[in-house]
Order: sequence, then structure tokens, then C-alpha cells
Amino acid sequence: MPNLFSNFIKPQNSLYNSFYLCNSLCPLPPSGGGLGRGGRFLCALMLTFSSNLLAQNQLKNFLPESCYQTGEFKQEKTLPSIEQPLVAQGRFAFSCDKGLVWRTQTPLDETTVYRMDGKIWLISEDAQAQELKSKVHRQMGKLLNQLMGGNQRFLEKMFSIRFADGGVELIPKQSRMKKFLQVIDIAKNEQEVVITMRQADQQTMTISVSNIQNPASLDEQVCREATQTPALVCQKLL
Amino acid sequence: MNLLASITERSYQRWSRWILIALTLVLVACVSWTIKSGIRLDTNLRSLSPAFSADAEVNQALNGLSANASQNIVLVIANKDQDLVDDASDLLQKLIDSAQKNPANLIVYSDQSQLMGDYARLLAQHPFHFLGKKSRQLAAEKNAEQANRLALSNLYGSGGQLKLIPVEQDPLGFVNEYALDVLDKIATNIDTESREVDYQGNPLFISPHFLRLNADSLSLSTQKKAQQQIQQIENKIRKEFPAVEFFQSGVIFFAADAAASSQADINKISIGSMLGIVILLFWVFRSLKALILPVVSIVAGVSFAFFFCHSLFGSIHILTIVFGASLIGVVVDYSLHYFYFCVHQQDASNINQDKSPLYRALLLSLLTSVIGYAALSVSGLTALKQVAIFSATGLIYAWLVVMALGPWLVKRVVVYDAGLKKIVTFVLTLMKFGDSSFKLLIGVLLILAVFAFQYSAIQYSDSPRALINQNQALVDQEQLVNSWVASYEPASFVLVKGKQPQEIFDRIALLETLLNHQQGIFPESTALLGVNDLFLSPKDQETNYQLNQWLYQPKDSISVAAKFIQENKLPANNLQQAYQDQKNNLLLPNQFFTADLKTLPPLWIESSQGIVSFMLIPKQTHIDKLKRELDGIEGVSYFSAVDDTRQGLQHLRQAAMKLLLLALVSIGFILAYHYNILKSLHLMAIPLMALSATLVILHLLNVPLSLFHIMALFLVLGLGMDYVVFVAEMTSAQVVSAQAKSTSSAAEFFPAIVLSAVTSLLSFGLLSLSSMPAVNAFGLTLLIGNSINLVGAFWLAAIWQKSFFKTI
Repeated sequence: MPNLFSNFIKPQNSLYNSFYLCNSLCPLPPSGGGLGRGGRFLCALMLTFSSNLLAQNQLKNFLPESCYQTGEFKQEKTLPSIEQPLVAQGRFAFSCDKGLVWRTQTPLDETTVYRMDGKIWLISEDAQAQELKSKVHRQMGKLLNQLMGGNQRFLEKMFSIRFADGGVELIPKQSRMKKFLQVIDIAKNEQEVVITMRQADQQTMTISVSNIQNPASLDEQVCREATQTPALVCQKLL
Repeated sequence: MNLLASITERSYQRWSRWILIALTLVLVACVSWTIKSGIRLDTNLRSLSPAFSADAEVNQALNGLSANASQNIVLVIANKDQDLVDDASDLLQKLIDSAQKNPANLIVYSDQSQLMGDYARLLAQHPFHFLGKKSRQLAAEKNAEQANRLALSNLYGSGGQLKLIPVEQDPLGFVNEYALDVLDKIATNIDTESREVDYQGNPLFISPHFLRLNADSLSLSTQKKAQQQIQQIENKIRKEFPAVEFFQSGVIFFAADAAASSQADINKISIGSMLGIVILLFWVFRSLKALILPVVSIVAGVSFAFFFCHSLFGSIHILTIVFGASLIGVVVDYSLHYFYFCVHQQDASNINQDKSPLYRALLLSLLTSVIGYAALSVSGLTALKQVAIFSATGLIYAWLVVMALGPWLVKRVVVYDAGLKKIVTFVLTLMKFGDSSFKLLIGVLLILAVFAFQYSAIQYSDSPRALINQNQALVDQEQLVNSWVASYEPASFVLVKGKQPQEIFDRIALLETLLNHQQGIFPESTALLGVNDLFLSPKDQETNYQLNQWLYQPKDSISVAAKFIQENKLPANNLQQAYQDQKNNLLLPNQFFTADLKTLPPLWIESSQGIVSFMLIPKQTHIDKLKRELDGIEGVSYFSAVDDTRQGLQHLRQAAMKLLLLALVSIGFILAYHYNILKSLHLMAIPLMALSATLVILHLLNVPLSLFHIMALFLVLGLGMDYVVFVAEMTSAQVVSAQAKSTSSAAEFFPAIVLSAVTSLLSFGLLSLSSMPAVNAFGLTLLIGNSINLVGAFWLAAIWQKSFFKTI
């Protein structure tokens, strides 16, 4: 029995794949006891529908389930000219309707607030807030918020989704995005979620998210406790 | 005896045949070349305008700027449902991305990544002369702690999300900070994210897509293909999402619309002209054989003109074809006069009569018409030069065809013009009230007096909008899209001139200081875009280099950079030495704005005359307020292609009026050479009256005069001379006939002139129906002027007929 689900499955265009599989499963004509053409077509249709559902369900397995999340992260940036990766660590808090607080603690203390409405604030360790208006920051903020929020519709719209080696690959559909970002790998185990972004300039960023908590809500107090930041930071988010 | 009078019929025939053979060989060569190169129809409206400026480099740069702007397209998908807009937008992106694989694809997304890559590589070669805003401040303060903190942020944090400059060349990320600031300024919005706007008082979600053409947007073939491609894409999207609306912005849509309406004009005018003329000729001659000479001469003349001009210019402008279609009305005159004269000779049993008077008349007619058209060639407009050459060469070739083929094709041609003769006789009878030279003089003086009286009140219009037929729906859509999407004016710029780069930057800095103090000039969050947004002035680069010394090469301590590199284990390519080597290695704009650069307008032009830098103006800027701020800043000026074209057209109109007088005088000399002074004055009176009366009538109709009205007056002059020359020659011929005791009158030959005038009115008059204001002006002027020419010719014939009958 061929492994139907280890192949490349595109949720949108798998009818052909499914028909081929049905054909290979039941090659004999009706008189030989197998499915007829109509039967094979129905088989393909059902397989497509179910494989789409399956793909969507599989993707869900890799995405956050709760609207509110807090936790810790470790970020490793690999640049082609540097032997050892650049490591940063910190804490975060996320609300699916407000946005993300990303606090880097080592090697520098810096907090970035990515709001769902597109505004981005950079708050320094001495609580000086500066709004970041660049397109680069806006794009990154949007991507992080959608990933953290598990926005499946967004991901399916922007990426081709591929399951391999126990993880999921998100490949940008737009050629313009591909010039900057080649692929996002997401791998998940009980302890952590590892997101690896491979960029076009051979730069790789791996974010390991661990100690994930799902509070019932994210208010200022929960946010401050999770991120250990001054009041200004969570106020900017909420 | 003058030269013209001394040429015999035999000489006419011999010379005309030889010249025809020679020109036919030229035609064959031109046809071969055109078939090889392919026919190019030019709809480029820029060639209709005079040169933007006297400075050739500025013209070139402005052409480059306009060309760059003309390739931009904005497609906006709109609907009240945001999800629908997003889905349709995705499909549009998919369709355009998949079209890239097709080599014939014309539409691509406007993508600045290549540009930024080139720019970043250039910046990386000068890493010690550029600093971002924050890093500059910290370097000036010599704040090591904060500088270190900023460098950490650039490496690990928010500042390091996009590395345009490699870390080995910019370990602190301070140059990268500068490059990201520039990216923000010049990168087009690659984010097609839908957003809400107000549309007719209601909310609407839009998703704008910034596209570019891969080729010159003003060539006819590109326009058609690009329009088709856009239409196919829109149709596919509408099939999936029928409820979405499309809004468009771009020069291509206006150019395509102008080409389509010109095409419609050509069809209307050409078909109308030919049909009218064929019916008229058939009514008079009632023989297909009689149509051969007119049709052959028209086809031959127009073909020669087309292929010759195409070979000479490399293309034919659509305007040339529109005007050229009216050539039909002039060319057919030669055949008409030829038939009439020969038939008249046959009727009088003078089959072997010398045709010299006919040939003289035809030659004079050709000369005066060619002088009239030739004046267009000094107009300074490339397209009008092409019209002049097209018309003159077409006329000459058609004339030669008539001269060569006439003797064979005129045999056994009969004229059925009894009805026309009656009309002519009736009109000549009516003219009896004015059939004296004195009355003609009074008439002409009266018209000249009215003209002189009204001269100061005449209105003029030099608007470049006369050159295009503006589709108001397209204009409204363009304005709507501009209100939603920020972009720059395609044909207006701020020019900054100087001798040295620093001078340019200083003037820009002064301008920006003044503008910063003013409110309400630019739309919110927009400003002029110039070289200062991409590069630092030489002085600022020097300053940065000095500031960087503290970072890279301090005198008495380990540098901030060295310490940072050590602590973070970064690759260090002997930056201290690199800093030393980079001294005086400034990055100047001319290293970036080369001829190969296609994705950004040429904002910097250097020549032996100096430097010209252009600044782009955001759309919906208050131009009057901006102009006021520019006044008084040395070396800074406002340029508008529309204003410049208007001034150019005004200058040409004024020059053309003077050339018209010159043409009148030149023709007068030719006539005086061939005829006596008195007769010449009679002949000149008619076109002079026609010109003055036309201007008076146009003024009474409240039509403001433009260059194209004046250009048409040249043709009024040429056509008027045709008629009066034939009146003069035919009445001279009749004097000879009178001596031979034949009984003929002006009614014998005048129908030819009437037919000639009617065919001209048919072809030129139809131009007045054109939707293009310039062509419409041309046609209306000719319609009025040539009608008066015909009346004048009748008047002249009436005067001389009276003299003729007195002589018998």
C-alpha cells in the first residue's frame, strides 16, 4: 500500500494526484472486479476532499491552539560569514487580537511590540519607546503575528504547505517574497516549537519557542509577568 | 520670356518621365527596406511637442523621466467585501507571476529588489562614509556604550531583520541602518494588502498592484499587446470573482485610447474622402477608365509618401497618416485639370494643341502647394516635419504619374458636366456685380480692414491638450486612483542645477529647509524625492568619515568597532586598514545613475555644461505654493512638460505666422516672375482675402487660434494658388483660342476648378469631424479657407471673363 501522505500534497490541486492514486490502487476494468471509471473518479474526489481536510488538520497540529500564549524563546541567527551562530534569548507574550510582545534579554535588552493593527514599537531598556515605521519591520511583524496566531487562512494564502520529516515547510507563493524568504520550517515536539526561516542571502534564523503557557486571557498584569517588562511595554500592546 | 514659359511640352514630358523613373527606383528601395524592417506606427505624443528645453542633456533626461513614468501601471481591485478583494488580489498575483515564464510577457510587477541590491553593493564599497541617523548621532556624541548597544541591536535584534550590507563589511550595522532608511523611501509598495478607502461617500476595500511595462509604452504594438494582456487577466479574475471592480492608472491607457480614436479618425476620413471623390468623379466622367488616372495617382502618391517617410524616419506617426489622408483631395486635382484641358482641346478639334499651358499651370500649382507644405517643415516639431515631407513627396510623385500616364489615359474620355457648367454659369452671372478689379480691390481691403481691426482681440490657445483627445472617463479614473495611491507626477519636476555635486546638495538642503517651514504643500507623509534621499552630500560623507574615525581608528584606545568584533567573534577584514584606504573615496550619484539604470528615473545628469538633478513631486501637491517657494532660490526651478509644451507651441505659432507672410511673399515673387505685376497682384488677392477672412470668421465663431489653425492657413494659401493659377493659365489659353476664333468661356474650364475645390473640401472638410482637437482645427480652417478660395476664384474668373469678352 503506497504511503498516500508522504508525497507532496497541495491542498488546492490534489485532484489529479488523487485520481492517479485511485487508478494505481484499482487498475482493473469493472469486469475484473475493480472500480469503473466513474468509481475511480468518485474515489479521487473523496480522496481529494479527505486529503485536503487531512492537510488542513495536519497543519493545525503545528500551529498554536490558543489565542493567548506566553513563553520563552531562543533565537539563533546564522550568517554565511560567521562560523558560530548569533544567539539571543528572551520572553514573549501573544494575544491573537492585540499582537505580540517580543522581549530580547540577552545579549541585549530590547523589546519590540508588534501590534495587529500594524504599528510597531521598539522599547529600550531605559523605557524609551520609538515607533518603527519601516516596511521591513511591518512585514516581519505581520508574519510573526500570523504565525503565532496560527492563522491558517493567511498561511495557506501566502505559502505552499509541505509536510516532510515530521515537520511542515512553508514555501512563499509570491516570487517577490521568495527573493527575501526561501522557506519556513516548523517542527514541534512536546517541549518546544522550532521555527526556522531560511532567507535568500544564506542567512538562517531559528527560533525555538519553549515553556509555552496558554493563559485564559492576556491583560497587563499577565503580560508584564510573562515578559518581565515595564508597564509601558504592555500598555503599548493592549 | 521666363523660364517656365519657355519649357516645351516635349521637355515637360521627357523630364517628368525620367524623374518618375528615378523616384520609382527610390520607391522600390524604400519598400524593400520597410518590408525588411517591418512597419512601425508611432503614436508617441512626445514627438508632437517641441523639445522640452534648449539644453540637450536636460531634454534627454526629461525624455528618460517621462519614459520611465510612462511604463508604470497601477491596477486596483476593489469591492465592499475585503475577503473578496484579497482572494481576487491573490489570483492577480498568481496570473502575473505565471506570465513571467512567457518570453512575450509585457507586464511585470514593479520590483525594486534588483535596484536595492545594486545600491547596497555600491554602498558596501564606501562603508566609512555613510551612517544611519541614530549611529551618526551616537558617533558625534562619542557615546561608546550606546553605540555598542545599537550595534548589538543591529546584530541580534530589531535592526538586524534585513541585512543589505554584509556584516564583514559593516560589523556595527551602521551603514545597513542607512540603507534600510533609503529602502523605505524608494521601494514601491510590494505589499498589496487590502485597505479601506472612501469612494463616493461609502467605504470600499482596495488592493493596488504596481506594475510596469517591459517595453516602450508609447509604441502602438506594445500598447495593443499590453492592453490585451491586461484585459485577459481582468477577464480571468472577473470569471472567478464577478463582483470585483477594476480601476486603472497609467499613461498606456491614455495612449491606447488616443491611438484608438486616431484609428477611428483615419478610417472615417480616408473612407469618407475616397468615397466622396469616387462618386463625384463617376458623376462627371461616367467611365471607369476616367477613374484610373485619379486612383492610380492617389495610390502612387500616397504610397511613395508613406514608404519614403517610413524609410527616412524609421516609423510613421499616426498624425502623419491622419493628415496624409487629406492629400487625396490635392492629388486628384492634377488628374481633373488634365482631363478637362485635354477634353476641351478635343472638343475644339485641337487634339494636337500644345499642352504647355496645362503643364505650366500644373507645375505652378505643384510649386505653390509644395511651398505651402514645406513651411510645415520649419515648424520645429518632428511630427509636422514628417507631415510636410509626406505631403510634398506625395504630391510630387502623384504629379509625375499624371504627367507620365495622362497622355495615354485621357484618350476617349468624355466629360458629362452640363449640370456643373450651368451651376458655374449661374454663379459667374451672380458675380457680375463685382466683376471689376476695382471691386475686388475694395473687397480685399475691406476684409483686411476688418482683420486688422479685430487682430488685437483674437484669442489664442496653445494648450498641449489640443494634441490629444482626452477621454474624461480615463482622466476621472486616473485622479481617483491617485487619491488612493501615493505616487509621483510623471511630467512635472523640480530642477536643481549646479556646477559641482556639493552645490546641488546645498541647494536641495536649502529648498527642503524652506519647504519644511510651510504647511499644506504636499499631501500627508509625502515629500519631494531627490538624490539627497539616496546619497549624502560630499561634505556629509566627509563628516561621516571623520566621525567613523572614533569608531574604527581612535588614536589612544581600542576602537569601538574592534572591541565589538572581538566580543561577538565577527569576521574582521582588517577594518582599520580598510578605513585608512577609504579616505577620499566618496560615493557620488553619477556612479549609480548610469545609462543602464532602468528601474529608477534618471535623477542626476552630468555633462560638460554642469549637473542637473531632478526631484520628483508627489501627486496632488499644491503646485502654485511649491512654485512660490522655488522662486528666489538660485539654480532651482520648476519644470512642467505641459507648461513647456505650451510655451513651445506658442513660440511655434508666432513663428508660423511670420513664415506665412514669408510664403506669401515668396509665392508673389514666383508669380511676378512668370506673369506681369498687375496680374500677379490679382492672383495674390484671392488667397490673401481667403487667409484674412478665415481668421475673421474663426474669431467670430469664438475659436481660439492654435498652431494647427496657422498650419492649415499654409494649405489654404497653397490651394488658393492652385485655383487662381489655373484661372490665369486657362484664361490665357482662351485668349489664344479667341484668336483662333473658338467660342469658349470660363464655364468651359471652370468646372475643373469647382471639382478640384469640392474634392479638397471633401477630404479636408472631413478632418473637421475629427475628435482630435488639433486635426479638427486643421480641418475647420481648411473648410472655411478653401471655400473662400473657391469664391475668390469665381470672382477672378468673372473679372477676366469680362476682360476676355471685351477682347474678342
